[in-house]
Order: sequence, then structure tokens, then C-alpha cells
Amino acid sequence: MSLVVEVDLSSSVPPYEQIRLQVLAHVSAGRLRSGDRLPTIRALATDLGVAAGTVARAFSELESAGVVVTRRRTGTTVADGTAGPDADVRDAARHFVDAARAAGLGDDEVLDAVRGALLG
Amino acid sequence: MSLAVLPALLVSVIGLAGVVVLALLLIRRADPAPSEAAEAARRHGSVVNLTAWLVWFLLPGPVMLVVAVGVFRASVGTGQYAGVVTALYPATHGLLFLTVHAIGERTWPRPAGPVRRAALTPRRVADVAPRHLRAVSWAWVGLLVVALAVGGATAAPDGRSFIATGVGPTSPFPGWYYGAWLLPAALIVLGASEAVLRLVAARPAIVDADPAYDAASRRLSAHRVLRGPQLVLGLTLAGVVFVLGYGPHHAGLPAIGYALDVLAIGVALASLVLAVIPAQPPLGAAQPPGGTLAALAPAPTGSSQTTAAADGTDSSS
Repeated sequence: MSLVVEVDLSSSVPPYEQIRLQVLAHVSAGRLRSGDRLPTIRALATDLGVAAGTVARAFSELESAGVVVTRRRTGTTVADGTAGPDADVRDAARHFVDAARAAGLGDDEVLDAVRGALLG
Repeated sequence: MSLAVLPALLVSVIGLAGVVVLALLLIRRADPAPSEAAEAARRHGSVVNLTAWLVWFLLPGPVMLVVAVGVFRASVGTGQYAGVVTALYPATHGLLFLTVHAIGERTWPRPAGPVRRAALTPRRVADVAPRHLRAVSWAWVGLLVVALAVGGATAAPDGRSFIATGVGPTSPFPGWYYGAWLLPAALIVLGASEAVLRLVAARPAIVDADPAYDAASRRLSAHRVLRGPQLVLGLTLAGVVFVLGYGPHHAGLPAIGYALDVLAIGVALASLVLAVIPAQPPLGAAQPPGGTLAALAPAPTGSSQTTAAADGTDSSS
């Protein structure tokens, strides 16, 4: 999957939270690595047609969690030492998603299965 | 002086007919866009492109005619500045062309609909501008600086004629009399094209298509933007080199004179060919490969554990 962020304005989840979760997901999957640059707040807000404050809040919370750092010269980058799960876990997740898609499950059903497993 | 602009007006009208026919053919042949926003963007881009070329062919003629009449009245009997007005004609085309594109980028369709998608990677001018067209534009300006410097160094003290030993002066010649106008005009056109490319890179994304389609759409726009200034700068350079050749011809150095003539024709042809090569239209899917990312948002109930497990933070903040 390419590095894409998607916001559903009709969702009950606030847009900033959707952005935050998706950046986290990309970091967890290893698609975003330490030092990778993110778009500027203004650019991402313009692209998505949302207020700059929405993206700023998502980035601010990611920064508070130590996932990204913002510097004047380099903009917002993925923080050093940020690593997702190890390669085995990522591979297992990949295989699980492939199997679920092959079985015809939708994204919501896949996530329900994961949530069920986490509760077990 | 006004008569000098009439051939340009004639060329404008003939070129205009060609542009309209070509544009209608291209718009009709275009592949269908993969989504609603993509279709709106495609339509907007086509209208801007067609308008820019219409303005290219229609507006500079009357504008320069008015300027030329004013200059003629101000310099009756001397012919002063008449050559400068003619030399600045291509730059007028370029600036009006870029103005239309700038307005087009500023009025690009805003994201609409509940689901918006964008690439999570920074985007620079270099990512959207076709490298060869941008490099050629800069190269034309670089060569123009060299040509004007040579002209300035070899021109007579009046900066507009060339004096060879044993023969009288020949004019026009691209000394600093012309260079002082042409060089800033070329730099302004180049700077304006870079500014419009920044607008292309910064405009809103096509939110309901694959980001690859959005990137291709930006490359198409950047290609359309760069064709105009590239042609302006190329034709300006060709004109300067051609007139620079008057000096060697006049001084009894025909080999150098003919070499400059050939160079001028080569530059003019190259810039014309680059201007008519069509850009690659974007092709792409409506959906990016993989799943729907908005599905990563926590479920309305019982989701806090999942979110906390994912990022180790309190998701309620």
C-alpha cells in the first residue's frame, strides 16, 4: 500500500484522530521510518480540504507521543528510534490480512477479528 | 511602428485557429477520469490550458499594438525604443500565458465529499515539473545571458549597433541597449514560471482518486505551464542570436555569421518542437491499492482498548 492518508468526514471519529491513527499505522507497518518527512501541515490540510488546525492537532499529538518531531529547518519527520513491531509480527499481520482478503472479508470484519483476538 | 506589429497579429489569428482545433480534438479524445473529483479537475485543467493559449494568441497583439502606438508617438522621428518593444513581444506572451495558469491554479476545484484521500509524502516543485522542460527553460536563460554579454561586449558605444573596421555601423545589434530590457524580462518570465509551478505543487489534491492519479495530474499541469515560457525564452534567445549574427556578417566573417544563423534557427525549432509535444494525460485508478484507511479508525464502541494497544496512548485526547 502506498503512503496515503484518508479522512472520512461522515465518520464519528474526529478527522484529526483519523490522521493520527493512520500515521501510526504507517509507522507500525514500517512504511514510515525514522527520519522520513511528512508533508507540511498547510500542504496536507489543503490536500484534504480540512482546516490546518485539524492536521496541526494530529501532528501535535503524534509529537507528544514521540512518534514525530518538528523542527524549523526540516519540518515534521518521523522521530529517531521509532520502530513498529518486529519483522515477524509485521509479516504475520501481512499474511493475516492477505488471508482475510482472500476469504472475502472487508476491512471492518478484519478489524473485528483482530479486536476479538485482542480480547481473548 | 504599428505596422511592425501587424504581422504578429496575423500570426496570432492563424495560430489561434490551430489551437482551437487541436484543443477540441484533445479534449474529445481524453480518457474518462476515474472519479467525480478527477473529472472536475480534468475539465478545469483543460479549460485553463485552452484559455491560456487563447490569451497567448489573442491578447499580446492588441496589448503590444497599444504600447507600440504610444511609443511611436513618444519617439516620433527618432524610432527610439521601437526595437525594444518588438524584442519584448515574446515576454508579453509568456507573462499573460502564465497569469492565466496562475489564476487557474488558484481556482482549482476544492476537495468535496465526505471521504478525502491524499499522499502522506512531502511534495516539491521538482516532484511535479517535467525535468527536461524545466532544464531547457533555465538553459535558454543561461544562453541568453551569454549571448547578451557577448553582444554587450562587442556592440558600439550606443549599445544598439555594431561597427567593423573599415565599414560603417550596422544596426540593430543586441548590445546593452536591448539587453537591459531583455535580460530582466527573461528573468521575470522564468521567475513567474517557477512561481506558477509552486502553485501547481501546492494546490488541493484530487481527493477521491488514487494519489498516483493526483501526482500525474500535477505533472500534466506543470508540463502545460512550462511549455509557454520555454517557447518564449527559446524564441527570445533565437532572436538575439540571429541579430548577433549581423555583426560577423557585416565584419566580413560570414562563417561565424552563418553559424550563428544556424544556431538561432536550431534554438527556435527546438523550442517550437518542445512546445507542441503534448503532455502525458494522467491514468489511474479511483481507489489506491489495498484497503480503506479510514477503517483504521476505532469502532464507535469498545474501541479504546484497541487504540491504546496500537499506540500506547490515551486515544480520548
